Amino acid sequence: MFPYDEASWSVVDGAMFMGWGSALPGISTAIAAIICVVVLVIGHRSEMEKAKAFDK
Amino acid sequence: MHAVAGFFALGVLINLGPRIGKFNADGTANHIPGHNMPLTVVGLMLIIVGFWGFLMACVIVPGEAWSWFGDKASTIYGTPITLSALSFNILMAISGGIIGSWLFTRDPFWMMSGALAGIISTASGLDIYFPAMAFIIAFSAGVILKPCADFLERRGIDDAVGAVTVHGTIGLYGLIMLGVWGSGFPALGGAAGEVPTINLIGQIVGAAVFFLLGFVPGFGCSWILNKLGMLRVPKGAELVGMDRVKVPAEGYPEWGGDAGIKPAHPAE
Repeated sequence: MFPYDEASWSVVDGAMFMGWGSALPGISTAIAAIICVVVLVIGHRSEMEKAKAFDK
Repeated sequence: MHAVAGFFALGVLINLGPRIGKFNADGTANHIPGHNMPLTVVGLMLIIVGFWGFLMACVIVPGEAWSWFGDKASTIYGTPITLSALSFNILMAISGGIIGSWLFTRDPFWMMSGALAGIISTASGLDIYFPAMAFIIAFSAGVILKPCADFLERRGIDDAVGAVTVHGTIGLYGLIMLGVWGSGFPALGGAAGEVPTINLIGQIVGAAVFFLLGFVPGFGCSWILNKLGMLRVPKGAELVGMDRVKVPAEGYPEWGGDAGIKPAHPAE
């Protein structure tokens, strides 16, 4: 939700983003980081299996 | 905008029909590869580069007679934005889209298309998404990209470059995502109470309107062209290839007369 009483951009000084002043930016950063690590692990496993297939 | 273009393409594709050799007699699809993967990927990357110019051109500088604000930059809709924030969000969207599509396809074409899907899925909220949020939404768009393209293919639509999925389906997905995450934010610049705020129902209605705005003219125009015999090239010309028919030129002499066609879904 818009973090001001007035639903107007005139009350915002400069750019702003969703979750301003709440835990949302931190939560979304954590989720994004987890996605990256999970993809890295899954990708490494599957790519290693592919590479091993050529090693026989 | 992307949804309009994407579903215009769907309307055209329905009347255009599939390429020769795309579908087998039992309805299964074949994969008809492009002639040059590096050139294809470079082309898709150029679209991504172009997105920066396109999106940055949507930033209105402050202090001019036609500016929304005297002291801060804004989008064309009067919502505050900075070039750096916009650039960062575009980059996160590209990253998320590439990673999401890589996870299930491992295909450079779909990875670059995933980057486009990432931008398109977040474009409606690039001015207000937190960068990590843009990444997550773009990642989800990259994940659903190929299944959405396969869904279309199984219904006999030959979308050679994935345009309907990347621009149409993902365009609508981006609209809905903004309704989910951006509810309550002012949709335009202006005084409180005088401008509409973003809400999910409004985004769904908007998605339906954009679908119809694209699909109906696309279907109508191509239906007329098809009836006039001006939509699809003759079968013989299609088999020879448009390089030789139109230019004429041997664009890909290393391929000989045909590309290596194989089943799109070998497991089926």
